[in-house]
Amino acid sequence: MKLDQDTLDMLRISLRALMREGHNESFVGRLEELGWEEVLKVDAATALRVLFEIKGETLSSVDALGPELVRVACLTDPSVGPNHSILLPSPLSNPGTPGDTVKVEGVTSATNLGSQVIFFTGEQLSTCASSHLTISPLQGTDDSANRRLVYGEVPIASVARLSAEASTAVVAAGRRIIASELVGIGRHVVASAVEYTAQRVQYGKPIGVFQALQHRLASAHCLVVGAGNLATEAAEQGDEWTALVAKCLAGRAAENACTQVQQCYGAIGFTWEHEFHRYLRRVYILDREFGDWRTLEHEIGDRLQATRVVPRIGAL
Amino acid sequence: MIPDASMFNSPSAYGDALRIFLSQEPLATPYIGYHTPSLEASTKHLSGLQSLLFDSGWSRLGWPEKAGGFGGDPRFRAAMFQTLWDLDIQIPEPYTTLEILVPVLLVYSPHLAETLLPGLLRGDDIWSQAFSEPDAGSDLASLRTRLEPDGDGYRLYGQKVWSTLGHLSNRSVLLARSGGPGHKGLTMVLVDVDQEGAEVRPITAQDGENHFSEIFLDGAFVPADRVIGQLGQGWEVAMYMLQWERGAWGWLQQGRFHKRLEQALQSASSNPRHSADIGAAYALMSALRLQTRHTVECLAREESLGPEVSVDKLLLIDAELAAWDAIRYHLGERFEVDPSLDWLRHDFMFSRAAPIYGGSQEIQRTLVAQRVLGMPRG
Ligand SMILES: Cc1cc2nc3c(=O)[nH]c(=O)nc-3n(C[C@H](O)[C@H](O)[C@H](O)COP(=O)(O)OP(=O)(O)OC[C@H]3O[C@@H](n4cnc5c(N)ncnc54)[C@H](O)[C@@H]3O)c2cc1C
Repeated sequence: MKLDQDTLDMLRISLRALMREGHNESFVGRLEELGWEEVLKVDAATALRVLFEIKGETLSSVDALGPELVRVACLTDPSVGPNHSILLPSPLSNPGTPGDTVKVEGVTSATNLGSQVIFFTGEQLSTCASSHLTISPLQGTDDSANRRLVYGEVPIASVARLSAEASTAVVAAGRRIIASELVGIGRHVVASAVEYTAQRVQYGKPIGVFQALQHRLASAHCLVVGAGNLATEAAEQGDEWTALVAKCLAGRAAENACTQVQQCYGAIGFTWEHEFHRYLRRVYILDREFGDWRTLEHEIGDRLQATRVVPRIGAL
Repeated sequence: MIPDASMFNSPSAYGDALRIFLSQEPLATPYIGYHTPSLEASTKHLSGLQSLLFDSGWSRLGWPEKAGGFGGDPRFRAAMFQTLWDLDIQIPEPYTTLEILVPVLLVYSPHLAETLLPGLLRGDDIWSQAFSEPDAGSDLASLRTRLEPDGDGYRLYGQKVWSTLGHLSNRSVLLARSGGPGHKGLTMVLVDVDQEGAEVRPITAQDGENHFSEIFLDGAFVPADRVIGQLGQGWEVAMYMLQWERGAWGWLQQGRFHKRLEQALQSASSNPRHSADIGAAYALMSALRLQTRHTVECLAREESLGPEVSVDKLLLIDAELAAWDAIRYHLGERFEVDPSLDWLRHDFMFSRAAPIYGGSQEIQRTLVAQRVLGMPRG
């Protein structure tokens, strides 16, 4: 079943309000009050896509990704439950297994960790208790993303591995979700620049009449539309390959949109006060998660060369 | 078995059935894996495929019954193109002009579609599109070829250029000036170009093939019932046509890129240094495929598309250039010297036209900026 247009429009309004409130602690509870469980039952693909598009557009830093990835892990591995939190792969170092302990390291945007955490060691997902882990703020490009580093060393005996399916499913879900968030950002920055260029006057005319700027925004728009198509297809199909391609093009499209848009603003967009740099920073962070677009282009090309089959994404 | 639309619960199911038919039909063998650089040779050779698909009924799906089709919406045509590419059967060039020129007839001049579609589909007739003129390229509405009343019809005076397949065609869908300057003075007609008063001369394109033609018009006759739509309605008709030119055409093309990339991967050894180019091209091809699938679905529901369809053309340009660049690099030295890849080199050289034809990249970007994003006009 598909969400109908009216429900979707109403959902968008509520989700925007919720994202703008931006209370991390109450987010999941407030989502539940909206009847999110029901919505997911009707059409999870569309609902999640829209949720994350709006998260991107509003630059919200609520932790919506973590709970969703835990939900996906739950579906594929019965040992995962609601007391789990998930750590995204750490950007700082590669966790290893020194001696008889396991090095746990990962990133979360959650305010409080559950009693158990799910973490990546390479492509392997495992769980352990969160009690011995240390949490510290993660400084970086985008401090508004509320990201915190979680780390520690735990005895091997207290670590349980999750199934390979769980890990594939979590990576695919992460990719398609972040693809939608990047598409949301791409749409937002292009739309804002269109508005700005209609108002800013130079040489006695709105700068939006200049073809050089029109073409920048048109090409930015096209790539975002293309990435949006892929993100939608990835949400609907739920498969790992489409998610990979969607994340790849979404990263490229969002970064390209920022590059084109920055130029349209001139100096005003270069100020701390202007919102633009916050979107740019968010794009950099999101692009890294589950593979930046250049790395993913490589991965797609490697896999195509290995199989020598070119899958057709999207059946008639 | 004669197929009809009600036998298949989806266009994909029809595409699968067509694949089985073509794989088993001995008469189809000469077309599978057939490649030639020559548009003239391929059009001639593949006319046999056109009659095979028509006589067996397969190419009649996706066209309305009153026009000699077997019913079903245009997605069936899209599925046919997919199947042909997947089997490495080159799409006959006349199919591509048909895809652009006939839908407009169904809407604006059904009487012409009804009588003329079967001959076109079967390959007995070939049509071309004659819009551009030496002094009217991007600025199409400035065209000067005149349509003048004469008895129970009209006569054409002027010159057209870049008409794809022109010298192989017997008819042309032609945009001419019947009234004053600007959009309002334009009329679309269907003219026989094999008559006295029309002289067609091929032009060799950069791929070395006679791809398009100039058409000199000195009194060529157009019967009154060969006006498409109304007198003075030519611009509207042309704009309707562009939806197909930019959308349905894009679907057809993405099938080709997917097949050609696959063939390149199968005929060259792996090289990790090519992965990024291949991956980037593939992502763009997938985006184009989904975008044009959406367009074909809208057209199938008879929804009007408007200026968004320029996005299809812009994605096509990106995907086409990226796909062929990736193919050329991946094939390495062989691409330049392998005598068996002559056809592929021609295809590559032709791919460079993507940002020019059917409204250039610049024109499309301006359309997207002004008509889709709503940026101000100068
Ligand atoms: C392979 C091929 C097949 C074709 N088939 C057909 C066919 O079947 N029938 C037919 O009628 N025509 C056909 N054409 C012609 C095609 O539609 C024209 O080439 C196209 O409309 C551009 O016109 P032009 O070549 O005169 O270039 P011009 O209009 O002279 O443009 C030259 C350059 O200037 C740029 N430019 C022009 N105006 C502007 C502007 N306002 N703003 C910014 N930049 C601008 C263009 O983008 C382009 O880069 C074909 C062309 C090719 C290459």
